[in-house]
Amino acid sequence: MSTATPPGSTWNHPDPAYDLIVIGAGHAGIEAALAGARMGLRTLIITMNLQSIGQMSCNPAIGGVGKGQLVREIDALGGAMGALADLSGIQFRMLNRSKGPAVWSPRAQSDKWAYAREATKLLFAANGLDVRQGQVVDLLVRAGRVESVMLDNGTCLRGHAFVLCAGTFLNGMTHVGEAKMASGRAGEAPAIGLSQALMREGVQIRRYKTGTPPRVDRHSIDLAGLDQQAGDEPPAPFRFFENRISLPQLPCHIAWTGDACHAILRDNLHRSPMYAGRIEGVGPRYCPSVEDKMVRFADKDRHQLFLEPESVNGREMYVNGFSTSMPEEVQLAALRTVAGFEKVRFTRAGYAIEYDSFPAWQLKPDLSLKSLHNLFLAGQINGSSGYEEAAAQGLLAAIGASAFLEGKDAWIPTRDQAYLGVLVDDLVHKPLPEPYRMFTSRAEFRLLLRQDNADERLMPQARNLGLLEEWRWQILLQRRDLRQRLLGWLQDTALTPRQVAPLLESASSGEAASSPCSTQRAAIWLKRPEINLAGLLASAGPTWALEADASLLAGLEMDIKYEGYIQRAQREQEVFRRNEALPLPENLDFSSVAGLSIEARDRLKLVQPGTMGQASRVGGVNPTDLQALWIHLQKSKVRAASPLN
Amino acid sequence: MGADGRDTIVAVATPPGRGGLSVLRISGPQAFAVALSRITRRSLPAHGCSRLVWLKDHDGQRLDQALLLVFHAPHSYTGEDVVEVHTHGAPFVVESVLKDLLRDCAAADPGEFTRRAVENGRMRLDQAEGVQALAEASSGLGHQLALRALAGGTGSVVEALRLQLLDVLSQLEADLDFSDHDIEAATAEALMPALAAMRERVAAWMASWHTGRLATGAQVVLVGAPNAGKSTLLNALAGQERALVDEGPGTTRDAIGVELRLDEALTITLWDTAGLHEGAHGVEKRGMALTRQRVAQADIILHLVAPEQCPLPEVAGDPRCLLVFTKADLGAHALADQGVQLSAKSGLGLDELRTSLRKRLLDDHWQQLELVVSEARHLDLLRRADTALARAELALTASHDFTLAAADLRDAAQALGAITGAVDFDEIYPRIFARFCIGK
Repeated sequence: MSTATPPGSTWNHPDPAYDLIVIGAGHAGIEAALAGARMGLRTLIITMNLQSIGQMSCNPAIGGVGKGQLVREIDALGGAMGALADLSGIQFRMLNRSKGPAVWSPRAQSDKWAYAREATKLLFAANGLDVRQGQVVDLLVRAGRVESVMLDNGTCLRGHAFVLCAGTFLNGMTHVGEAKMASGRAGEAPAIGLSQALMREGVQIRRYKTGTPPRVDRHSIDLAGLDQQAGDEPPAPFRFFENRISLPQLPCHIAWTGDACHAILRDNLHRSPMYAGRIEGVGPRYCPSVEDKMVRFADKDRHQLFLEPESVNGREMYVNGFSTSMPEEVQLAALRTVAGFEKVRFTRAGYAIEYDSFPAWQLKPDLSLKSLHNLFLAGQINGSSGYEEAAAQGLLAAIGASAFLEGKDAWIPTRDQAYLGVLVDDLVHKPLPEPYRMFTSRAEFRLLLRQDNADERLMPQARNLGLLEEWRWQILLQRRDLRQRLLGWLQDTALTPRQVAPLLESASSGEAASSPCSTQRAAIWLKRPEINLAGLLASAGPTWALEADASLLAGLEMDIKYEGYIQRAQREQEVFRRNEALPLPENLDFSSVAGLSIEARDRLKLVQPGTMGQASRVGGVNPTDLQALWIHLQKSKVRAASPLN
Repeated sequence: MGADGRDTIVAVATPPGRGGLSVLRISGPQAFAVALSRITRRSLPAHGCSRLVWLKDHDGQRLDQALLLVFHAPHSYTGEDVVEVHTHGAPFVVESVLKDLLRDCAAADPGEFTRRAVENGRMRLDQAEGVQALAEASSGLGHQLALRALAGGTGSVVEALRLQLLDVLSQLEADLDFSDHDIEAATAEALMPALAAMRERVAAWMASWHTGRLATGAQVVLVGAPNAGKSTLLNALAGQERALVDEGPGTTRDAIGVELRLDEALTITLWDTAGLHEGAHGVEKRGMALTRQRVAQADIILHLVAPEQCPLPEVAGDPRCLLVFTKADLGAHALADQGVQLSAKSGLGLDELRTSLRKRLLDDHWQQLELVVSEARHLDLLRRADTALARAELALTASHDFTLAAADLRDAAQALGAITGAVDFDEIYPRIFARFCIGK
């Protein structure tokens, strides 16, 4: 047994080993623990502080473009995030409404205290789930498996499988100007010891950084002078088949930086820890600090700021767009130049945080470490950013752990099945030069993976895994039936030009729509851009069609209107699946493959992909390399089939 | 097989037959070792240098005095270690050297040196096609186009458009993925001119196939009623008797093709065919079916009409048709001003016919085109790109759906990328981040 720093004597807990021990109670940990318990595993979740379960350390919001799709999928798989966002939501918006249904993306502002409270309630209410406070400082490893975790007081807790979701706490270091502090989140202690334990087991570590803006006192802002942005009315919930939105809905406010603000930031660039070289970690390009914006987009004369309420009744507000690690006096001076912020007071200053993460090529697609089979890693420590990405991994890690304990292959979502599949495949196979966040353009099957059809895509799987409530399954079946009947009606019903004329007229703006000529089936009419399904059903549909809600209609409409695109996507899906189904031998020696470029060989050796499809995504591998790999496989097949061998 | 699992290959690079000298090429990890084992000296010449050596076989018997030329990886044609062996040109000598080298090397498959060059990143797919075209060039046009392709002209022009396309795509994607950020929204109005310009270029490239396909020779078919003088004309243009000629009609029964050089730029394959007329049967009828097949594939139809004959309506209306009034020495045809007057006997009109043919086939402005498509594979891919771009326009203007337009642009970019062998969509992010200030 190897331990780094046993702090005094270690006391083994008398209770039997847990099936699953989850370390960390952030967004990944919550999903991992709840899913584990729901799948029947005796589960323990350990958090450094029982008062800070389910914290929103950064933006008080859930969802967004790409991320909203993840939340819908997590919900369809029986996860908690959708319900928590609904219960704590104070403003809901469907982003990208004008851009095409494939990228409609739900996003909600949350009351961050309500979110944490609901998450805490959920953990304590779950059957088969124990919750306790403690800091895990070491892992006790025997024969390639983690046997127990040691807390800072020396107590050892035994388990059969473990999910580590430490967020930004591992050797966390916060920076505000010249001041730096060992810290896992503003005002909270970092986790020391765990990284060292993993390094001892040969796991490689990389430093990443992220940042957050200052929080300001609502009473110090002239809100009346700012533009408002309201939510959708009525708000649409994340959770499928249930609306638990109950908090009052609030607007956000919009402000703009200007020359005076930029001048202050620019004059003080040398005091930014990033530019002074005090931060070594790599930060995300899609979430630059405001000082970064000064350097990279020097020609832009103003930047937008969103002022987001952090709670219904509290006074703290989040200044979205002003992420910074400048000294507090610079942050304050710069922000006070912004109209509406002249008298702003901070409740907390902005800061940057550096933390340990573990390059995810060290993981298998079930998120277990290749070198420690019963240890699963989830969330920000895998190099992702964002609550949604973390929660998705927590859920998948629990699914992986459950399969591991049963001795089965884990269900792993595929890229053509879910954003969850894109996420895990990208993390484990692609090179990640910066913290990873989901975008819709990462999903090559974007037209098939929509937020409106996540239920249909994933609930059957959730049911197989024991993660879906029976009543939701029943609703899914009813909706399927209704959808089928609607489709039948659209395909069988002939409509005359006169029947659809009102729809054409109301849509045509000045320019007359190309004149309708003859009677056609409803599904054909629907393909015209100016006709939508709701309108069609309202003017000519059967009365039973009224049962269908907007999201069911949107999905069906998309499938019919864009049939050609869907079919093309499905053909690509076939090709994709063929490649995914071509396995690479487990211990393939890539050095023996003729014709691989050196870069491809190095990446393949490192990542050790399991299929041709995965090999195509490891980075540095081009089509000729794939061809070489394919030829190699064919040759070995011939050799294997030869009786002389 | 070498340490990296790759064979060392050898092949004769010069054509079979007797010549002043022949070149054998060895490529692969063992190339230097093999060459060293066949010479008395202890070392090979330096990279890019040559040396005259006595060439021995595996057992030490002298085979020839030869010139060795050495190239070190990756600075060689294939990107591997390469040795060229210039031997004397007698087939027996070359065969002996090859046979001996095959004891330590594998025989190269056809095109394998070039394939390795592509695999090792020494050239792109379109350049490899240029190599092939250059090896097969049979006309000035074919030669020029192959040189363009080999120099990377095709690839760089297509690649430039693909990058433009990715640029538009990245604007669309930025608009989809960062719509909640403070970036200038992409609008259909702003994107359409760029799309239209791209389509125009792709259309021009597709139209250039009209010229490019002639690189391997134009198909010219002689058509007419029996005894119109088709075979006589064939022989006159070929400058020798290639087809049997007889006073009686129906002498030619199957289609006879003769490749000949029309001028510096163009090679044509001239097809003599069975005469078309009513009431044919048996062999003659089958001959006429062959004629119609040839006509379908023709670039130009030379329709020959003798003084006593009328133009055949099924041919004369074809836009590819050039009317030729034969036997002009017997008197002018009533429609003579609609075509070329020809007397194979006196040679009258032959030069005029050549000039007309040349004008109809090849527009001399082709040299000013930025791209002349001469590979059918490229044409197919351009068609796919064009269709996808057309759909993208429709998606932007009619359905106002950026996700569909993005799917179409990806399709188009993929098609263009397939021409050069480039396909990587992780190129989009750097473009987005370079262009927009992303991040709230």
